[in-house]
Amino acid sequence: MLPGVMLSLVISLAAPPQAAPPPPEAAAAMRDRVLEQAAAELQAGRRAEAKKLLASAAERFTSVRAMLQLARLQSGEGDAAGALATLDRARTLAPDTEEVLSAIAQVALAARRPVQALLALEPLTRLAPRIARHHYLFGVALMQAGDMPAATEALQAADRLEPGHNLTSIALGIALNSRKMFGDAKPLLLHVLEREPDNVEALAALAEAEEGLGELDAADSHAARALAATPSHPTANLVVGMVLMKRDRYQEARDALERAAAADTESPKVYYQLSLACARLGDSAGASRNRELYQQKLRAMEARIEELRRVGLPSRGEMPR
Amino acid sequence: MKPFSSRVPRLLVLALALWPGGVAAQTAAEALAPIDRRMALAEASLRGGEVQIAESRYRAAIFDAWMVAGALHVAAGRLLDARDAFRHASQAVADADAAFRSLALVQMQVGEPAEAVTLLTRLSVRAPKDFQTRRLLAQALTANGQPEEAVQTLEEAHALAPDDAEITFLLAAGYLEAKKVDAAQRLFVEVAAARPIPQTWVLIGRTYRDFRLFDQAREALNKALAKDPTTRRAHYYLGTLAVMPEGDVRLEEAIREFRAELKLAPEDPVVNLRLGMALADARREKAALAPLEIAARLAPSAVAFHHLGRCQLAVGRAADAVKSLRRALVLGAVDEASRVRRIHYQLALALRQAGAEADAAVHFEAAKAGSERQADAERERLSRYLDDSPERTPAAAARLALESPLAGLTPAVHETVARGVRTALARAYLNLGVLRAQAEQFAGAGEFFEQAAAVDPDFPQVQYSLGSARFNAKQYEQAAVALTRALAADPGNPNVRRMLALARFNTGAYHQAADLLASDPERASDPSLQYAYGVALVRSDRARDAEAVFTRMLADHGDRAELHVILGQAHAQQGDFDAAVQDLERARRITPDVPDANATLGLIYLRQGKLAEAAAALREELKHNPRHVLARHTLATVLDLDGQPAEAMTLLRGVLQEQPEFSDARYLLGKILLASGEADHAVPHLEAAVRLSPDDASYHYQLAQAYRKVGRSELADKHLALFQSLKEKARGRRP
Repeated sequence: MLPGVMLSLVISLAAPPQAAPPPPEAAAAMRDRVLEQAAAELQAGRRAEAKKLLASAAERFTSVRAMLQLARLQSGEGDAAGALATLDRARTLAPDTEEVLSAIAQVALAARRPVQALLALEPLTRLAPRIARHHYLFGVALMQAGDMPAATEALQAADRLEPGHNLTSIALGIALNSRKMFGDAKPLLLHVLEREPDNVEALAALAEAEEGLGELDAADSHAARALAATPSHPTANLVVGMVLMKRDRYQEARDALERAAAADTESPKVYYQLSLACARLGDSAGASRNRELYQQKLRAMEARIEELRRVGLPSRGEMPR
Repeated sequence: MKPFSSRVPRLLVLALALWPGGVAAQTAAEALAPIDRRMALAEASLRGGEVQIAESRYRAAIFDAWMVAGALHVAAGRLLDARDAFRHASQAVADADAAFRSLALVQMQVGEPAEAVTLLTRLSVRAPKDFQTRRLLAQALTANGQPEEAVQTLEEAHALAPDDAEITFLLAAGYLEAKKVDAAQRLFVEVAAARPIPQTWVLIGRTYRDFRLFDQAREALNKALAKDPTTRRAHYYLGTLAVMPEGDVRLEEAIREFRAELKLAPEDPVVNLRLGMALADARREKAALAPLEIAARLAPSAVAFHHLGRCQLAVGRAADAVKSLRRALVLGAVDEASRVRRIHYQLALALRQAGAEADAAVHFEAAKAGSERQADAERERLSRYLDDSPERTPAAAARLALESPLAGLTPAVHETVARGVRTALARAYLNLGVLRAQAEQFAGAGEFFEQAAAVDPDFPQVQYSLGSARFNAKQYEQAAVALTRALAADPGNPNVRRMLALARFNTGAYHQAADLLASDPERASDPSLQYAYGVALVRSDRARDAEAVFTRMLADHGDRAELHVILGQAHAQQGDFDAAVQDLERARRITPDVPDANATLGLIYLRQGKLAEAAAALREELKHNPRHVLARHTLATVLDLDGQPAEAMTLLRGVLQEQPEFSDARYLLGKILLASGEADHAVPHLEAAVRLSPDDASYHYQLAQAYRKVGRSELADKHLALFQSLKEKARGRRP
């Protein structure tokens, strides 16, 4: 609705520039042509050529536009390291741009590099404090790093800005479950399921909350619904395992927990439960191995939280178990 | 060894270093140059088509501009405004440590040490070797009542930088606070050795004095004088030492020291004030007059005029005393109540002596609460008057005046810089908003325009841009506010007028919308505007005018189904259901699947209690428009009334998936769930409904019932009370 000419109008109203003459128009036009060629290559399915052109535009014209497009392609091909390197270069040229910071956060999160994501998300939540998505991603990154109290705060901020958003509610439910605040998590997750009855993540998280509250039948039933849709779901398998443990069915419990561990190799909680199951089954070697894995995962989480602290990010360092 | 200032407040000059100019500016051009450079670079990037780089540079310009604004506010003593400016700066760029440091400094000044501690803790963790930040953190911790943590912070800093004299000094002061006098003494000796000038001993002496270690203080101050008898402030602090000890007030010694100090600096207002007060207390009021007059002239304060008035009264100059004490009252309006009472008491005495008995009575009354103990209180508090640093901790430094790199500007230059900063901010925010609007991120654009308008509401284009962005983001209320301002500035602009009309229309202000559209030159040729005008007329009870509009539309655009739907809705809103049904049936005959015809018919049948007909019409609408949210919600209502809750719930869940904030749908789903015995599941929906429409009595009633069922009686009672109060309010409104 805004007239396209407004920007130039505003600039013409401004005082005349006093430094740094504009880049030659010819250079800008050349860059645009290279970007157009890259788009055409991409359209034709020639990604390698498109990347080459974008890399050359990024280099020759120090173009952040080209860098963002290149990073998108690299990330789409699973080259997180390459994408992050490109985005780091973009950040040095445009350190205070939301689009650049957001791209770094998303690529880093997808690559499970929470600290790197947080270093982009912390300023992003300051630069654009009213955008719920930034707070949501901040919360998710903190969850990945294992700092659940700080994650809860970030997710609550997202929920205040955009109440009742399913993804935020689920993430908040999971964060609250990790802090054993099952009573707070349950209504949130029920709320999600009212709006989206078959949401697998919400079903699994609700099952975990119910298990924590001792509502074993409900937990079992919701976990079963989640597993019917996604048989390898780590949380649902974990819940099934924990319910079976409480029902003294250790062999079945161990099977479920092993499925959970296979699906999520980073969760300390699964290994802790597995060590208990093995111990109950008299498998002292398995118990010892899983206890060691549990401690190893816990140490990794502690290291991540320590890293957060070192870079001055909010952390309360509460450890999950 | 780093250079070491003679006064701790130097730390607070930190804010000076934070502004982009780097050195203190003398002219407006110098102060604004860094901002202008950033703006020029941003605009160059924009012209080069690199919008991301342009955004970053505009943000950097905004950061610089807010930092300069903060420095200007500090220079003018407007600390709360400075705090806000530094807060804005901290939201402008990713690396905002400089803004956070300045913000923390100001927070310490305005009595928010806890916030300062939070900020500085984070900064010092991030940069463990930034000793300046650590020193500030220690000060903030002390001010926040955490002296042990302050000492620990300083010990860590001292271990990392044993040669930093300022840290050593602050740590020594921290030890005094913790009553570790020997440890402090050792560090003071280190400091004095590192900085062997007499001023170092003055600072040490004053610090001992602040912790009431009078012997050590006297020894340090005498060392300063031994090194150089003309050392400033040594005699002054020795004078204050003479009157500070309890029970041993040596006024003559104090007077002698103050006089010695005045030989070095005859016009020093603080020393003149202290000398005058000491003389007055020694009952030598006549001698006290001269120094008190100097103090009152050079640094007018309630204290100076209070004591001047006292002395004038004592020497029989009642009329002068009245003048001085009245001035003291004006200056002391924000002082502590006991001082104000004492001024009232003295003024009452002066007025009585001057023969103004009635006026005196008023001031005696004001002084009543503490007057009977006046003479004693005066003596008891003498030491406080003499103590220029009543907070006896290192945090005292934080409460001394901040200095600003822009403090030296003349008022005219100050105003020019402030205007330049406002213009730069408005321009940068406006351009950021335009960038967002061009990317069709209208909510984000609105926020930038909002900031531009907050800085300079009259900046060209700002209100129209704000209104336009809010309109496109469907934030019609906010759009209307900005567009009203834009129209006031440019009343003949038809585009602004039209957008305002449509914003009003969307907020339900149909009367204003109709008035604004009445004279729109494009209405006659634009059917959508004509339609909006007609509907606005209908909804503002001007059905006859509306009919003329719609008849004209039918004549101009033919017998179109859509127009009959509008006419039908207009009739329905007037309660003329027969005419409404007639038009809607006509619309269906022309175009059987015309949107909204069946939905409106369904609603009319529902209101008439014809549930089967309503359901049939609504199902017909959904056959052609399966995502029609209102039709689905109305059908759910019909089905609920008809005893078919399962299908109603399915419909409502679908509606809520698309429109989670649809309060009527939430309410209905909650109500059906409650009636089905699923109170647990009903609660979140009813809570959401109440949150979305807190003034709807029935929502509170259902929520109360749901809470009751799940055993949350306290909340049930609360919402039942709200239900009753809303009901009563509604009854009261009825004629």
